[in-house]
Amino acid sequence: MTILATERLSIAFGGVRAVDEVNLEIEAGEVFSIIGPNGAGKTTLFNLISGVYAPDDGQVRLAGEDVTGLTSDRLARRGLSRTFQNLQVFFRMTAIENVMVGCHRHEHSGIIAELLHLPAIVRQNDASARKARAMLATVGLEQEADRPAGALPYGALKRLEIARALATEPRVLLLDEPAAGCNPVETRELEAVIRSIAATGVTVVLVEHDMRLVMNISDRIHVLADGKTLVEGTAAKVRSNPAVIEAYLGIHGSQEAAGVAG
Amino acid sequence: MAEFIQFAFSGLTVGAVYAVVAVGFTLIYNASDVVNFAQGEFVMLGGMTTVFLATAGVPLPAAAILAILLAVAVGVVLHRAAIDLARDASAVTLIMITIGASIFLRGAAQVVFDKRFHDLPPIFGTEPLRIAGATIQPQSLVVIFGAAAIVLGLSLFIDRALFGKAVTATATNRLAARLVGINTRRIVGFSFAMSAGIGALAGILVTPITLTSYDAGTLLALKGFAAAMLGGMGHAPGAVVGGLVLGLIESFSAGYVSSKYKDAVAFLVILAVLFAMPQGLLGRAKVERV
Amino acid sequence: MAGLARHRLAPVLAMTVLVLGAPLLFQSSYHYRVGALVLVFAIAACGLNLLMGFAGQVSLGHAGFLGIGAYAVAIGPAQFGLPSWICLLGGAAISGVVALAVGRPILRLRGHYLAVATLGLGILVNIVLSNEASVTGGPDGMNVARLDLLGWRIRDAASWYWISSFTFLLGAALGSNLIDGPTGRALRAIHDSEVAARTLGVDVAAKKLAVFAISAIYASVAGSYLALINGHVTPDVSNFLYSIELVAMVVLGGMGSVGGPLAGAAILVLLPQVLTILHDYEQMVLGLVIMGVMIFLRHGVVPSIAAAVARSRS
Repeated sequence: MTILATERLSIAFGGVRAVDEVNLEIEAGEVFSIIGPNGAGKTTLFNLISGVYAPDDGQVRLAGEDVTGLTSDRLARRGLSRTFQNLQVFFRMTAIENVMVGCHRHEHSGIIAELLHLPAIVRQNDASARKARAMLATVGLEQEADRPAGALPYGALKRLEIARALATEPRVLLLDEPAAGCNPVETRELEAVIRSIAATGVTVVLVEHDMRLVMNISDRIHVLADGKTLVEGTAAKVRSNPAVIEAYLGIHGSQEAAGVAG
Repeated sequence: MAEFIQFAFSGLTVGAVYAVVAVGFTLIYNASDVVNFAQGEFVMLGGMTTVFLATAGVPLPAAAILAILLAVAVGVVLHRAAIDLARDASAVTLIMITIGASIFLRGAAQVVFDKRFHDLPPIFGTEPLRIAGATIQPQSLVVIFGAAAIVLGLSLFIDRALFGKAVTATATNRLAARLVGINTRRIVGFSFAMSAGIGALAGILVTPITLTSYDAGTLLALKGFAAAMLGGMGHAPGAVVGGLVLGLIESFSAGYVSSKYKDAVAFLVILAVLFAMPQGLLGRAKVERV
Repeated sequence: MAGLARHRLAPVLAMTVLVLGAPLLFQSSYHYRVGALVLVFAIAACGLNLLMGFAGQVSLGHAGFLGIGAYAVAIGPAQFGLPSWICLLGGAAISGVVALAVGRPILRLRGHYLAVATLGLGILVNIVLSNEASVTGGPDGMNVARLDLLGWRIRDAASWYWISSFTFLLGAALGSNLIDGPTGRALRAIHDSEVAARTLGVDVAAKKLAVFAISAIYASVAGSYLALINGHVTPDVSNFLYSIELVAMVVLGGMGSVGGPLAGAAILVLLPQVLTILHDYEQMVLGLVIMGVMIFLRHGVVPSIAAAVARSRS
């Protein structure tokens, strides 16, 4: 079943078509990667899908429902959440508090109950805290739960964002360059985390530069260059596609690569 | 028609002062991200110091120049002794410091000068001019052209002089400016000095019309700040447009609606503009990069 | 004991002790009156702290809500013969409604634009209160009937001290509860990253509006108390200088700290009292104190003291 689809999705910034008529059809439960050289429009595409930007043209459909132009919070309530390339961590809150904000979607309370700190609120706080700890455990951060996020190292913060986004219990999880700045060990750990997330049935959409991670983990790969779709397919198909090699390495580079390979 | 022109001129006159205050805000904000609530006090100091020096026997032109120099000195001290000391503090803290400075300067003016209203003689006399049937005070024109000269001079300096380019660089990206060897602290200090100087000059020019007193700076700062926002924060041409527009709205609503509610109309218009254009009249919409 | 210190109501408990103990130092009804004023302003500052310190939104026009509350208990009894306490609740309701009505468009603005919009709001309230003389008595203001609770006419300073204490501590406790719950976390998240908060399902606009309305109600109650304590009200209660003073109380005391509002209110109410001996130099010293505190205790008095205590312990 197609869980996330875009049709001719486009946006331009001051004359530059950052995303140009991109069509996606992402199946439920798969791990789908979007790759492309810098400036290809990958993060912009994420921003369009997750409601940070409103598109100039085209449509976004989530589980068949037209969600084009909906704001991020409404998309989150429909089961779509994300992490950020440039970290949008709540630095002044502790790690567990960060993840508890992710539980917000499932917390239902009236303002009066909150002001009076009624037992229902206490129970809800406890439930959210338990859930947040579990999420921190899935990304290996349970020891850091009570540390202020601002004190955590970069790699931990990337994982914190994943835990936080998972707490919303999404159907679709968008990960924006989760391996950026990670060393090989951290990247392998990340790969395990993503596999375990996918194993629970969550659809994972990945924007990444780390090719080994992408090739290892993706069911399908979508290549973007200059805002347009170049090719889509399995890892093997994409890896050997000359247009993809050219987009990444340039004409001379791809000729050199061909010379080296041949 | 004559009435319309009259209101337009008085609106442009007071708008010119707002514009200069707004430009002062913008200059300091661009260089340091600080909103300087003591801006209005610079204007007040210009007028009050000139009055008191003149009363003490100093010839008017010399009194004016000394007043401007005093304001500039105050601006430099404010930067060195307060803003620069706290330069790593949060925006709110820095704004609070300028508010404290504003209270201090107002209190000092109260003690050093007095609490009464004062005026200065108009430069070209009190004989009103007749333009298209309207009665215009010549000092009005002095203020308008004086403000225009100030703004033009400042923009020429920013565009042409090397130091001016350093100011632009600091405003665009402070860290990058430091990395190419620009002494950003001196730039910020300069922006304070300059804002103080132009504010004081505007204060001297407008005192013959609006009079001055120890607390004249407060409302002026508010309106200058509002004008800067109206035009688009951090955008000098916007500050000028914002100031003139604010002055004109005030004048026309005082004339055609009610003088009691002129400030209310002005702020209602500002609110309406901000609701429709959250980045101000000339400001550019900031796309948040995530 | 350490567990108690970390309890969410620990700061409120500490302030309760302070507030109960302070009268031991009072030697005249004047002291009670000053104490009452500190607490009344602390109520308003507490509400503003929720908005500025936790949610990260600025308001330069909060004295407008002081004015609405103050004039509600002035006009209500005088024009409609209603008991003062009903008018107090009415004023709070009006402030809440006004906040909800103008808050939606205003809170879409950010940073300095939001500051100017709230500034304009406060000035508008001030202008209306000054000009509609037939209802409000104009710039000279009007008299306010004393509070009459079930036949007990409250006019002595000591009674007002206890009423303000109770109200402030209650307000601080409710505020602490709010911060500790889902809305509090959502507000703090909005403060750090609105974009991220939204992607987690937080209805940012609704949350900002809610805290804006709550802070307006706190200010309104404080304004009503002010009017009832003084027996008289003028439009000045809603002017820009009071708005700035409220902001100063929050910032000097320490934004985002529970004890900050009380500390800030204490500084800015007590200092002028102390400084009257300096007569004309009062404003100069006040300005210098504000600047000094901000330069040397840049996170505010309470957080700086807390940090110093933590450092000395480690």
